[in-house]
Amino acid sequence: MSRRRKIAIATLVALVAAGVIYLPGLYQRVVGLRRMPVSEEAERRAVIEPPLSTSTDQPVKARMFWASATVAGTVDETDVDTKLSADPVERGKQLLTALIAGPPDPSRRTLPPGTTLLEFYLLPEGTAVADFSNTLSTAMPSGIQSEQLAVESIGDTLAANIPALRRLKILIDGQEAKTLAGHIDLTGYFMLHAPTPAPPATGTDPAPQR
Amino acid sequence: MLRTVPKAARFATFLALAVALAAFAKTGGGQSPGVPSPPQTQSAQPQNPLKPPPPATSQTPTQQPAPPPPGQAPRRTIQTVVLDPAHGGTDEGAHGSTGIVEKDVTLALAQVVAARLRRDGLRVVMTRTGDQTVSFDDRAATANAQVSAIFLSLHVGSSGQVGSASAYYYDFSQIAPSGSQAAAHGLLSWELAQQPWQSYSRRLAQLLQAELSARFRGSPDLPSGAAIYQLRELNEPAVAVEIENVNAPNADALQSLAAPLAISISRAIQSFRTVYAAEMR
Repeated sequence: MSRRRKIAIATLVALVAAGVIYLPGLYQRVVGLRRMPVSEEAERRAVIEPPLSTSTDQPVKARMFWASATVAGTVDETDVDTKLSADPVERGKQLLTALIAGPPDPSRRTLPPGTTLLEFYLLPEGTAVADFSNTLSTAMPSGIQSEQLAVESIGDTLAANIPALRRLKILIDGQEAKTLAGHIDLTGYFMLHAPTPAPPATGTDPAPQR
Repeated sequence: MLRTVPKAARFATFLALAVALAAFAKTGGGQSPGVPSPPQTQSAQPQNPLKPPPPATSQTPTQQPAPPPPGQAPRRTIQTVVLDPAHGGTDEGAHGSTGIVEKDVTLALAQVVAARLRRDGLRVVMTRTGDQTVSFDDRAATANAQVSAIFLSLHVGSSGQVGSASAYYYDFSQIAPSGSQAAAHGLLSWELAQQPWQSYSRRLAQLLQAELSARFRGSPDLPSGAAIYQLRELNEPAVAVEIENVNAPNADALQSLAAPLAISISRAIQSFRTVYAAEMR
C-alpha cells in the first residue's frame, strides 16, 4: 500500500469518526426545534416583552383592547404588565406591535397575524398616524363588525395609554386607503377618546362555604 | 342653411336632442340641490362568464316607475327603498370556510326582501340585480337619484354568532373628514352627503335593530354607529344590516334567515315611515 493511499484512508476514517460524534448532536437539535412551541408562546412573549425597547422604558400596566370574550362585537380591556417608553412615538410603536402580536387568548385577536407596523408618528395637535402593511387589509376577515373591532382596538389602546392623542389616521403601505377591507372608512381621522377604566372587580370571591 | 336640410333629417335631429335632454335630466336632475355629481372612479364590469347570473327577478331602476320630476320638493312619506346587495362581480366580499361567498348571499337575501317590500306597496330599486361589480359611487348615485327614499345595504359578516344580525348607521362623531372632504362654497360635499341625515339614519337603525333582535338570537338590542364608507355618500336615511356569518355550515342556513330578515325590514320601514311623515309635517 502506497503512502498516499494510507493518508487518504486515514483521512476518511477521521472524517467518519467526526461525523459519528457530530451527527447525534445535530439530530437532537433538529428534534428540539421541531418540538418548540412557536405560535402561542411567541405571541405571549411578544405581549409581555415588547420587542422595541428604549432607554426610557418604564414598567407599567398597559391597557390593551382586544375583542370581548363575552359580548360579541365589542372590545374589552386587558391589563398587561410590560415596559413602555416615555416617548409617545416609541410608546405607540410598542403598543401597536403588542396589539398585533395578539392577546393571550387567540380567539380575541382583532388584527390579522402577519401584519406589520411599518411606521408610527405624531403630527401637531395630537394626531397619530399608524402605517400598517397591506396584510392588515388582505388578511382581515371581511365584514363591518370585524373591521370595526380592529379600528376600535387600535384607537382605544392608543388613547388609553397615550392621553395626548386626539385623532388617528390609518395608512396601508404608506398610502391612504378608501376602506380597511371593504367596509370601514379610512379616508378620514378617527376621533380618539380615552376609554373609561373598567371598575375594579368586587364581590367576585366566592362566599366561604360552611 | 336649414332650407338645404331635408325635412326628415331636421325631425331626426330634433328627436335626438330631445332624447339627450331627457337622458341628462334622468341622470343629473334627480339629485337634491347642493350635491355634486359623484366622481367617476369605477364602472360596472362584465359578468363572470364562468357563473351565470341569477334570474333577474328584481326590477332595475329603469324598469321602475319614473321618479318625480327634478326640482320637485321631497314628499313627506317614504315611497322608495333602495336595496343594496353589498359586493358583487370582482368584489366577492367575505369567504366562508365552507365555500359560501358573501356577494351571492347578499343578492339572494335582497331578492327576498325586495319581494316583501313590493307586497307592502313600496317602490324598490336595487343597486345590482346580478353579479356585477358596482362601485361605491355608482351605488350612491343610484340612491341619490331617487326622491323620498331610504337606503338599505345588506352584508354578511365573517365573525360573530351565526344567525345574529346587526344594524349600523354612519356615525360622524367617530371620524373627522380629511381636508379634501370639507364643505366648500356652501355646497355639501358628495363624500359627506349623509351628514344631515344622521339622526334619521340612527332612528331607522334603532327601529330595525329592535325588529332584528326579536327574531335573530344573539343580536344586540341597539344598533351600532360605524364609519361605513358606503353610507357616507348617501343623501337620504341610510343603514346597513350585517347577518352573521359566512362560516355557517351551508348556504341553506343563511338562506333560511331571508324570511325573518324581510319581515324585520318591512316592519321597521313601516314604523319609520310613520315617524318620518310626522316629523316632516
